[in-house]
Amino acid sequence: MANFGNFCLLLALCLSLYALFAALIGALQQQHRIVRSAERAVYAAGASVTISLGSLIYLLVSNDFSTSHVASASSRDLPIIYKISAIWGAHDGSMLLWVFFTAVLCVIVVFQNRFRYRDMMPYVIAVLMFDLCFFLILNLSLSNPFTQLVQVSADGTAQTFLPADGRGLNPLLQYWAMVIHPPILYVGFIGFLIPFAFAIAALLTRQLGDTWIRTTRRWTLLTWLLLGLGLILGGKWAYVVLGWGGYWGWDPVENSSLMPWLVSTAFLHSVIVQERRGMLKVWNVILVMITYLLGIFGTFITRSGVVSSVHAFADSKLGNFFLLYMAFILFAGFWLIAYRRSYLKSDRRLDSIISRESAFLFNNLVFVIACFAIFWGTMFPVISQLVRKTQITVGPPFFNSINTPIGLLLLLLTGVGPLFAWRKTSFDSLKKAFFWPAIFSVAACIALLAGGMRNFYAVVCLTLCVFVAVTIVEEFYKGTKIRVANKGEGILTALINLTLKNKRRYGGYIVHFAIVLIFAGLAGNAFNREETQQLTNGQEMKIGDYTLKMAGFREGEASNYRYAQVTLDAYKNGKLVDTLRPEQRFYNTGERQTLTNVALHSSPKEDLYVVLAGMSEDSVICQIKAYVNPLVFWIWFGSAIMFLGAVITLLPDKTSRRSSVTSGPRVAEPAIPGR
Amino acid sequence: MLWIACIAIVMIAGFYTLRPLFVEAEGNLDIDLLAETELDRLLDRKNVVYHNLRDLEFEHKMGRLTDSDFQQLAAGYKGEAASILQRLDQLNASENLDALIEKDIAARKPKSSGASRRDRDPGHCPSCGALIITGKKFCADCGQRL
Repeated sequence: MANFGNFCLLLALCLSLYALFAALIGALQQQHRIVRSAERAVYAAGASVTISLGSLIYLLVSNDFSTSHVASASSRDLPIIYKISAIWGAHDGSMLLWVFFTAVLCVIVVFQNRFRYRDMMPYVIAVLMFDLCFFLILNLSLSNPFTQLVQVSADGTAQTFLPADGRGLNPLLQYWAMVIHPPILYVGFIGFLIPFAFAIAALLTRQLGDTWIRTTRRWTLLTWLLLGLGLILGGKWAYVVLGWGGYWGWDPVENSSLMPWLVSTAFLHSVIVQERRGMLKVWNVILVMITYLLGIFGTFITRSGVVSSVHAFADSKLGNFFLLYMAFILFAGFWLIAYRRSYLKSDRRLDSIISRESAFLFNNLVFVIACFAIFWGTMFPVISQLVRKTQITVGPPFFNSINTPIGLLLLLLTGVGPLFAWRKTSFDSLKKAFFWPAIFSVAACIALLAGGMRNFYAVVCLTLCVFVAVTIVEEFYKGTKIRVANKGEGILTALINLTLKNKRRYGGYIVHFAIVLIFAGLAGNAFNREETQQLTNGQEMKIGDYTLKMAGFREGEASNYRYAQVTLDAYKNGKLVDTLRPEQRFYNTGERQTLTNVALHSSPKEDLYVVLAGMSEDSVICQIKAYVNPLVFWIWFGSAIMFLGAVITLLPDKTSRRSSVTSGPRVAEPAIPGR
Repeated sequence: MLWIACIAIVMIAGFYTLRPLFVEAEGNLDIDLLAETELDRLLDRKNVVYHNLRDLEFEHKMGRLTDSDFQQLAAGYKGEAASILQRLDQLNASENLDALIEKDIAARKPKSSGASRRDRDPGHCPSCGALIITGKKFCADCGQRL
């Protein structure tokens, strides 16, 4: 089965190479049948990669430890769901999963556009296949999950080696979020290939109007959503599994996922300026290219071994290939942009600094600056090591000090931007638009200060949260009011119709509202408390308003690990609110790793987060680490709202299939003089 | 067994991939004709300006803009729309669209016999009855969405 999987990968490489050249030849010779054949080669390559992945799953499920990947990432006692998730438990299999998602996305894009954009599609196919070929070559040569284990005997002959059991899956990955987090994140990274392929095709065919932007808008949004979800799930995993009380540690791999998300967020905004005002065309192409490159950079960081991270695979064989590939894309891409610059001229200039387009431009710059700051902080240790031969660590204080003000500025722009009109806004209009948000946010600021809050950033953050929330609520309130007055609809019907008739605008506002909730959750960080204490049965410890009383201790065994569990009764102001059972798990296979299983009592106000940090040899004394983390609930809740908002924006628009820019509030067609 | 499976999969993939080379007609991918024309761009811009105007009216109704701001901005958009419509009229007058359509259709005809489904007569516009250019989303004569 391993040989068959390997053969299918090789076949997929041949088919994608064929598709690449056939698409280009078909376009140059204007032969539709050759392009059609290239399209079919894409489908066949997708099927071939799928069979290959199926072979790996079969090897994992059937405990065939003769292949290196299965031996290093799985074991007999692993539950079936983790056997399947062991695909990405080691480097080689995760590369195959990457190739699989790339191939599937290529198939979807080619199938979706089989009757559309006939001029662009051959070039789109060529770019897609170029990317797929690169990863297939790496997968087949340097990172092959089907490599057989061999044993060299004393006389020098090599023969297949079949270990009795595998090393097992890293216990850190044995958590529900880890079953879905990597695949979602992978699709989030890979998805940026599609806008990139359309951008390159648009540059090559000189079709640099809004067509490629419209075609890829939903893809970009979907990819952005999946990457965002991947980040949130990663945060949730870190919070619940790693046991250090936080959800974001500015780890290099976390940063490399955040960077493309930031740049794609900038792109999602600047694309509106191009559609509405015909501006920022060069900027949009550059943003798409950078987002794609940052996706590849994220893979490079994870797979090259240049940085040490809890998420990284310790492998350095692939680094140079990724660097070469990125350098090629960077130079070829920018050369193409420079070569086609005459087609990328803006239709018009900025009318006024106080305008929606100017706010979008500013928001873009801030996103890119944030991305650059994170890039610099992530790569500085590597650059320092290369240039000065000294090991420097850039930790959370650097990232927090830079990104907190940048984040607050972005939050402010989230509220201010939509208050500006397109083209220009007068002072009187600004006064009207800012009146209620300003009143509410000043009142909130005074209330926070009067309530004793003195942390500068927290006060600013929560004040801005109120400001943005009021702008959004006002937007929905006024829109609903107009519908109630004009159409005679009930309030709820009017609110739903308002959102559904202009999904992009109001879905966007829902996402903005989610961002407000997430920022409110982040502001809670300023008030985190932490206590560590050793307890024996019946003893108590205090943290904030909570008292934790040790009520028991037990040890036991599950399918593939032993555990020690302490029972703690949590009292708030003297009243029992929960019974918490933090655990330590000792895994039998692999590196015999110990894992903490956090116990959580979560409420909208705060999380009580308890970790069993250790115990005495006789298991009488337990070391308990407790945290009170205010407002964390709102981060996860906000993420769910963000998902909802993005899904609303992604819903197909019945009223305007051609372009959702025409999906605005349906009012009578305007009277145009001279018509 | 493994070899049989490998040979079978190669044969299936090869047959499926190469079939269009022998079955489909030659030609019919005229990139220049499929390319976005000035007409496409103008119709697109017209839609965008209309949308901007509707949005402006909506924001005015919401009380976001003062009357004077609204009138000034609306006048700007209307001016923009008027110039686009003027250019569309010029384009209609200067180009003999019927001749252009005939040329397009002639260019799209397959160079050999056995035309595929996509090369057949694409039909007429439901609004004005003009011939439709294959691949276009709007009627070149009246702008009706197809």
